[in-house]
Formats: sequence, C-alpha cells, structure tokens
Amino acid sequence: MASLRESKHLPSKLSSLYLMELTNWRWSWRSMIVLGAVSPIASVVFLAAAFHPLSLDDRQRIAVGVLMLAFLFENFHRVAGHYAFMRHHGTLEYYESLPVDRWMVLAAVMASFFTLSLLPITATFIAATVYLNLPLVVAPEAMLVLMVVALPISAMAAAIGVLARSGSEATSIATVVTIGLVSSGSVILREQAIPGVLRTLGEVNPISHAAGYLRGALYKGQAVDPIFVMSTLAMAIILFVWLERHLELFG
Amino acid sequence: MAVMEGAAHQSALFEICGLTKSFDRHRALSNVSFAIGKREVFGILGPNGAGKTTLVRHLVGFSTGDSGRVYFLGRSIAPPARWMRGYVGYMPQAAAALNHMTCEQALYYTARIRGLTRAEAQHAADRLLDLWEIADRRRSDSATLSGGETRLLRLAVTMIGDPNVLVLDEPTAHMDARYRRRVHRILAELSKTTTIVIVTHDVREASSILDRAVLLSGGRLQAIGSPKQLRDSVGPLFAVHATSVESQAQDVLELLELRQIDEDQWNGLVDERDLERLRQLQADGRLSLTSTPATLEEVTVGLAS
Repeated sequence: MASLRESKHLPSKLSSLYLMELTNWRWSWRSMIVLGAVSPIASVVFLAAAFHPLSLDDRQRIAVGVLMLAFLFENFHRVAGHYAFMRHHGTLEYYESLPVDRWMVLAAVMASFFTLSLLPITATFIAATVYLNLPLVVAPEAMLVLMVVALPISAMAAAIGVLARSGSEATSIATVVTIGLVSSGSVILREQAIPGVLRTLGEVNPISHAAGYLRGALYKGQAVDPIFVMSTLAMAIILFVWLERHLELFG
Repeated sequence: MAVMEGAAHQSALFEICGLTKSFDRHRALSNVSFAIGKREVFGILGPNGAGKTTLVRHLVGFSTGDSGRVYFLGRSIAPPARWMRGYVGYMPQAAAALNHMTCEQALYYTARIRGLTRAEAQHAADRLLDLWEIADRRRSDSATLSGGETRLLRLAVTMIGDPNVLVLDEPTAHMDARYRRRVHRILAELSKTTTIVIVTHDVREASSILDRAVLLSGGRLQAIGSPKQLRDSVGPLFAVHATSVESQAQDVLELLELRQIDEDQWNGLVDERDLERLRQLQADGRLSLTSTPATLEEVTVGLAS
C-alpha cells in the first residue's frame, strides 16, 4: 500500500498552517479593535488623569504598560480562547489528522495572532505616545522583545485553552492571568508604588522584564540584553516541548 | 447476545484485539475484537453512547486503550501515530472545524500540508469542489456554510491527496436526503479503490453501502457481519404494530415486551413464535395487528437494547 507523499519541507507545512490560522481575522477583527486598541487607549487617558502630574518616566511606563496590555489581550487572551474553541469544535482533531506536529500548530497559531496583533498594538503605541507627548528614540530591538515574549505567552495560553472545559472558562482564566501579568512587577506603575509580594512576583514575570526592555528600546534607543532574549527563548522551548510531549490534547 | 464470527480476513487492514477503554468510572469499550479488511466499506454501528467514536479514535491513533491493541497494516498503533497520516484520511464528528477558511483555502492548504505541489494542490481543490458539487461555494467562508455543506466540505478535505483509507465519523449527520444520496453515490464509487470505515447510528441508510459492520452497544461488541448477517444474527424478527387492544390482551403485549407508544398503540420486535401468538389474538378479535420483517435498523435497536 502506497502512502501519500509526505511533505519533507517544513517551511511549506508551517506556511500553510500559518495562512490557515491567519483566516481567523474574519472573526477577530471587531474584538481586535475593542480589546487591542480602544480599551488600551482609554486606559492611557484614565491612567494619565489618575496619576497627574506625571514625570517622563511615569508617562513611559503608562505608554508601555498599556502596550503590553494590548499585546496580552491580542496574543495571550485570544490564543487561549482560540485553543479552547479548536479543542471543543474539532479543529485540533482536524490538525491531528494531518502529517504535522503539535508544535507546528502552536507555532502557526502564535505567529498568526502575533501578526494580527501588530496593527492594534501599533495604533495603541502611536496614540499613547502622542497623547502623553513622549519623545521617541526607537531601537530596532523593540520588535524583537515582543516577538520573543510572544513565544512563552502563547504556549501558556495554548495550555490554558486546551485544559479549560469551555471557551468562556479559558478566556476567564486568561483575563485573570492577564491582570496578574500586568500588575506583577513594574509594568505600568513604578516599583515603589506596588506591594512587595507583587514586586517579588515581577522578578519571574516575563511581561515585567519585557516592559522594562521595551521602555528602553522605544524611548531611549537602548539595546536589549541578550540574556533576556536567551532566557525567554529557553522558557518558550521548554513550554513547547512540554506541550508537544505531555499535553493530552485528545483524551 | 451471541457474537457472530467476523469474516476471516487474510488481508486485514485494521485488527482490534481485546480493546478496553474507560473514562473515569465509565467503561466506553469492553474487550472489543474484530478486523477490517482492505477495500471494505465497513460500518461501526450503534446507538448514541455505544462507544463508536471512542473506537474510531483508537483506529486513527488519537487514543490508546487501557488494555488491548489496535494494529494497522500489522503495526501497533499508539498516539500520536503520525506515520499513519499518510495512509488515512479521518473526518472527525465535529463539523465546525475549519476556522474561517474559505472552501477553496481549506482544500488547498490541506493539500499543501499533505505534500502536494502548488499546482497539484490547486488541481485537487478544483476537482473535489466539483466532485462534491460545492464549487459555487468556493470563496465562501466555511463558517457560513449550512450543516450539510460543511459536511460535504469536510468529506472533500478528508479525501485530499487520495488516502488509501477513509475513516468517517457520522459523515451524513445534519444532511438532508439529497446530500445523503450524493455522499452514498460518491462513497460507492470511491470504495472500488479505497477502504472506507463509516461510523454512524443511522443504520437504515448505512446498510445500503456497507459490506460489513460491527454493532456496538454499551461499549461491547454485539454482532459483526454483513447487514444481512446482522439481521439474521438474532433469527427472523418482525416489527409489529398493534392497535385496538382489549384490556386482557394488554398483559400479553407487556409479556412480549412491546412498548406502548400511545393509549391504544403498541410497537416492538417479536420472533416467529410470538408473532403467531399475536396473530391468534387478532383472530380472536382482541387486537388489530400489522407486521413486517424487521429492518436492520430495527434489529440494531433491538440488539442494542
């Protein structure tokens, strides 16, 4: 019995999976505008009013903090909900029936939602920068910070989506974790303004570290510490391997 | 319930040996054994909750049993069983599974993942859209298709790359008679070159295209054989419908385990001896009776219960 030809070309499989997942713009664009742009921009206005008068450092924290919020809504929150949908509506079974590995599906989902998130994140960034009157000194590594931190975040989101018993449970958990990620460490507020326990949690929070490097890269033109990049990539690889090997996607 | 011997298949494609699977305290499959031969159109039949989908997930390497083994081409299947993907096209039960791809995208990208070149993938997509008569929905978002159209698209996607084996879980669910006839016509043509395993609880329609079938109930194999063998496995049965039943005759109907479906209407399956008793009651004017040889569906329900 002859088997179907197996595509030996990884790029061909990955690009097809990526383009398949990119079609999710059809359902996600409305909430992308609301959660990824309108809500963060409204948060900028609220935070700027609540903490007036603001130093330059405060304004940079608010701008990058809401940018991280938009980033989490568009990547973490949405990937968790999407995985729950795929789990409960048969899409994961469909992918499982194809000659692809689970990590490929995860990478495609992550890359497609990252791509879709670029527009609202850019809109939030521009609006926050203009509204807070921040001078820009952008280093090219800014995009690298977002790309690198998207990897472990998406992997965590996929685990939540697959383990949750419904889509609403997945997005509820993702919302709680999102709040935890932006409030642990110095993401929006300066460290002195947050309780000690949250400062401690911030030490292991990739979003807290990413926010710090992003502030440096966007407003001070600073290079990103390679140790941050390498350690975040290592965390992502560990999560990907764990998901590939141990997550019982199909019971 | 006597289990019939399955036809001895020297060229077995799938062999299921003593497969048992439990979820929490619920036993979904209990010591199930049978074989599926090459080029068969094989049915997995049974009522809801019989263990059909659990069984088929073992056939395609999505699950592993608590005990027992499943073999494909003589090789033991264990998740994730990616080596099988080149041979087997699997259509899961869930329908809303293709995100928001258009019909053409779903076919084209699946073909690319299955290893076809761009030109081959486009050709395959065009051919399958025509074959399943959904070419007019080529650019439609798959999420906007009707339930029946979605099933047709899923069948087309499953056939991408011409797999040697198709495993189809409830392929005609949510379809009207027109679409069902289309599916049966295409699957009958396809069966000349392809092994097809169909999971269904709609026995009446499946019996027209199946070579053999296994009947599951409560996770146990109840019978296996051709549709005719399944019908004969419990001896000649008759579906009876009794009306105008006098009160004294009701005791007899209850004894024969007929179901009262209305104040004065009773249904059920009986064997030849009990049919004779009912005919005697009819002759005595105690009830009105109609009877027909039981269909496979009625036998299936009878066996399962």
